[in-house]
Amino acid sequence: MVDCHYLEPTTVSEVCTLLAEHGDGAKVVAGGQSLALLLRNGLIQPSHLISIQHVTELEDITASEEGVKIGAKVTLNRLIGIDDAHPTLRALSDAIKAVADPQIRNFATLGGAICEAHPASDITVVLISLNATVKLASADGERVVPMRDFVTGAFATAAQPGELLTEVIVPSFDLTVAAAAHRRFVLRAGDYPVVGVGAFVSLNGAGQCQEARIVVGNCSGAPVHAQEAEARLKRNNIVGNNGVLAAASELAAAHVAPSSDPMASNEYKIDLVSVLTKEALTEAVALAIG
Amino acid sequence: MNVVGTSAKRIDGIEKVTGTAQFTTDIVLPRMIHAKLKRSPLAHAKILRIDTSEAEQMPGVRAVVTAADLPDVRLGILTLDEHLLAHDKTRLVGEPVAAVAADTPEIARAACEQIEVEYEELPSLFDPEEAIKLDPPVVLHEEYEEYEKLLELAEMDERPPNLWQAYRIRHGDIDAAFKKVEDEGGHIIENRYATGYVHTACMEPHGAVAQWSSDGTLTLWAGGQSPYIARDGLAKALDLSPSKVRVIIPFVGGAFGGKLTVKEGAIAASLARKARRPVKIILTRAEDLSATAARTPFIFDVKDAVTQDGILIGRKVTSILWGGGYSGEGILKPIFSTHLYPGSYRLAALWVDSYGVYTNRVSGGALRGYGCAESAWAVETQMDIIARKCDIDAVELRINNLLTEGERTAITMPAHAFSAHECLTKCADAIEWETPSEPLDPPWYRGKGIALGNKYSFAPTASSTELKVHEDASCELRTSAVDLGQGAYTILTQIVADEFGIEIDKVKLVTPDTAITPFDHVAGSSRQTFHTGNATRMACDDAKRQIRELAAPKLEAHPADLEVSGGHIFVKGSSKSIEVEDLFVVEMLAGKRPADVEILGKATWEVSASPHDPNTGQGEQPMAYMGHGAQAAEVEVNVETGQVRVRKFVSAIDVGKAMNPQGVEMQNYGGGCMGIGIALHEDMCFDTSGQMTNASLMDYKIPSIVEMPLNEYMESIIVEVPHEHGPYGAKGAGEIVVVPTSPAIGNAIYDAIGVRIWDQPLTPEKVVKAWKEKKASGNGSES
Repeated sequence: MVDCHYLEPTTVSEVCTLLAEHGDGAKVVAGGQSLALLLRNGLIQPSHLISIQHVTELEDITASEEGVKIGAKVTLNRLIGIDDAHPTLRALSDAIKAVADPQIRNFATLGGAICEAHPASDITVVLISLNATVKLASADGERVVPMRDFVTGAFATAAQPGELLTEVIVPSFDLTVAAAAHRRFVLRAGDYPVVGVGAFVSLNGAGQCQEARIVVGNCSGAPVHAQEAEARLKRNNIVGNNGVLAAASELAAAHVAPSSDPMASNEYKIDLVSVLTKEALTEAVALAIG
Repeated sequence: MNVVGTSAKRIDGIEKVTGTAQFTTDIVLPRMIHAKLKRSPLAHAKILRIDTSEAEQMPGVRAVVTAADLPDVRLGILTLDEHLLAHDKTRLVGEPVAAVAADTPEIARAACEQIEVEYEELPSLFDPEEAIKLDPPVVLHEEYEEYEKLLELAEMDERPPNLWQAYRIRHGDIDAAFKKVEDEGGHIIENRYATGYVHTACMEPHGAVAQWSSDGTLTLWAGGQSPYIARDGLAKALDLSPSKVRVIIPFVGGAFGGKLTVKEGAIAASLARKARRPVKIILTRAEDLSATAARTPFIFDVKDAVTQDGILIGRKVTSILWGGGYSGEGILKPIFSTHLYPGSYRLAALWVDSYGVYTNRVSGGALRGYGCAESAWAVETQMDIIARKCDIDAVELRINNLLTEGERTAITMPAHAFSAHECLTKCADAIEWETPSEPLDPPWYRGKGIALGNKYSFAPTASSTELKVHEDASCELRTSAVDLGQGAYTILTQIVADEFGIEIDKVKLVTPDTAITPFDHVAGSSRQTFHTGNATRMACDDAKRQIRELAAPKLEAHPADLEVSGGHIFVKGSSKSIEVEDLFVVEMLAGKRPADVEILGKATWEVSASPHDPNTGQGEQPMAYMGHGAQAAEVEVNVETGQVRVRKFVSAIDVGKAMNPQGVEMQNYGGGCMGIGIALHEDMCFDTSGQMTNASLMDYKIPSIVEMPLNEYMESIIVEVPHEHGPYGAKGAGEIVVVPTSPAIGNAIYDAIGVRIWDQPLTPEKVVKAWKEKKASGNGSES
């Protein structure tokens, strides 16, 4: 049982006012799927729970030139198949299909999943690989933070007390030359993965890699950018070039320094990083060349 | 009316799917309060001082108990080595040292945190091979010799101080067997196997509600497997006469061996006595997983003597059961596990040394198969290795070594209703054993594996039932058999309906309540259909005899010439009949009563057994019956990630007579799923201080439905070879369904990628490691 005040504002500005008022002791609850576990395990002890259940302005998905904006309160199940309307979200939709189960995905929200900042989160990994940003609102105004800077460690984010994550922006990219893909390995369906990898590549007309992002989840507190591996790909011909993808995958594996946990040793996680990076890159390249 | 043998609907089905079935947690009594336990954070420590004063002062706290409030008695199944609350020492993390009852569970938990316990930490012992030494680094039970023991260990020159079980089998000339294969060019095949830490992890956690009445009688509601084992345990723990204890078993949300005793119930009872209020205790999932009995590991060293043409002529096994702080319900596992060493095979010589030791881990308990599923892992992997070594097909090799009907096994069990051959061949046909798996593209590989299994049901044992006949010809069966989900209530109802020729809805069950229902040993060891089924038939016969005697004068016939069916009593060979109702007379103000006395049939079914000599493992008949089954798996293995997918799974079990074929099918499917979990996924992990590190269902990996083969690839085969003593020929089905699963899957992994993993569970990480080692060594052959 949790002993705290439960508030139900209806607009973002009301939420921000309440957050400013109650300071550090206030926590925002959307679907409650991550928060309830943190509460039960005593990891957070809020004085006020601010429910954003009735804040409908956070439920939109809109596209513009700049990219696709997803309201923080959009449930995970709504994002499955969202790539039909917004093809750049294919990797995100794919990743979310494997998150937990339909009951949980019906309640869990995108914003909640990001703010939990679970070290193994597939959603975080994919969003970083897509170069996504998040918008934070507070009584003082708004700011936009890149996803790669937002998650700062295990269950830790750059959000300041008083700030509400309102929106995720996935930037546009040219689907004819670029693509993202995600791979994960789980011990049981619906679990957090032992390791997850998100990959994004874009090609020039000659099949050379213009841009590459390789993001590894659950090998550190926050997702890890495998920079050496990304560098190995850039300006190289990566179409039909298994050798360079394998080399990059090895570099990604060499880059991470996971710690063992009861479910997997660090050696095994490193093996998986190599296998999954290769698979994710192979799929991303195949999609990029159409 | 042939109701037995049909897939009658489960009589508890509607209640369970609509949520109206009452489980222990649903019981709410007036003035009831809630209990929580204060548990030891240390694996091995002396308790110097317990200060409960602050907890007692907290508002809402109604009672606090420690060992000082309880009778100083040690409890146990056969070696009485455990106090209800830690007495002077704690021997595992999570051992209860105190308990609080309060107005709410939250207050009780907060009060537990206010109890101060001063410990002197002692060195811990976690390694069973260290524990079994004559001079171990740590001794857990210094006073072991003084404990009350109800079983005899094998003789030894000197007992290792942490040993609580020793059992030997000495059958045939073992040295001659090994010499023969050495001289004649056969094979000696020697390997070490281990099983993992597995928890029953029932949907319903352990719990109980205790209430005292003013005459000093304790009533306890608990999800248990045996009301009488629970009653006697409570009486012993609380120093009461068993007649002062009433145990009622509501619906049980799974047990699998984990609910043989009701320790938490006894603690709740002690709190209820002190608080003078009813007390409920329901363990949290974390407590249930980390601090109730688990299927703790075995280590098996198996050495086989095999002739060149693949005949097993000698087997030597040394095994250690990795016990915990107390011998617990696992006390007989070092004995029962040995039944699988001969299993279904003819063995001229068998030499076994089987031990159980204390360590500072969770205590060993029962889990579906009671040692047999564990030893099958060693023995049936060994059979696969032998087949490959001798270059004989694995099914053929097994068949060549099988006993025949009427022979005795190396542990002197008569091979009766011997269906191993039929189970094996039907299973092989279903998995298309002769056809190799279709290859996949690397890194995926496919392979098939098969294994045989047995499960013996223990004896001596007994079941009693009573059967009351009402004026509307409906029947009421009073039984202490427990339906744990296995379908016992439905099967017993079917038997009564069948015996009386009435519809199933004219049969009522009075379920376990020691104030009303007669003795039944336990819902365990796959015994309920066999033993309670027999007792039920006999009680029906007794009631029908009474009916015939009451009807005889009315029908002017001899009782022996009468037949009872469908609510009528017929004179055989004539059209004369009366109704059961005619045996009742109208009583003013009281409706109808039986003309004579109550029509109340009663019966006891008993199976005796000769005690086996713990030094030789030889005797007359050690068990009630011997069950058979075979399972086969086709797996897909990814050598890069180590993932193993069970593509196809076949389970063929002999139940003698399928009382309810759909029920048997469900045992096959459910057992298969549980067996796959044990083989590939489930593993309790501990840190170096003995603390379980994955005590949640998020981290303890019970597989989900996604990890199971698709419906059409999961096949149940029912074999029916009737047993002369089984009711309608039936044998139990509850445990055999998990016995061959692990070796079938392990053998399939070998078939797919040519590696053996010797210790369960066969996790992806171990697969990758074994595959890398095989690559590094450049060959996959095994010895």
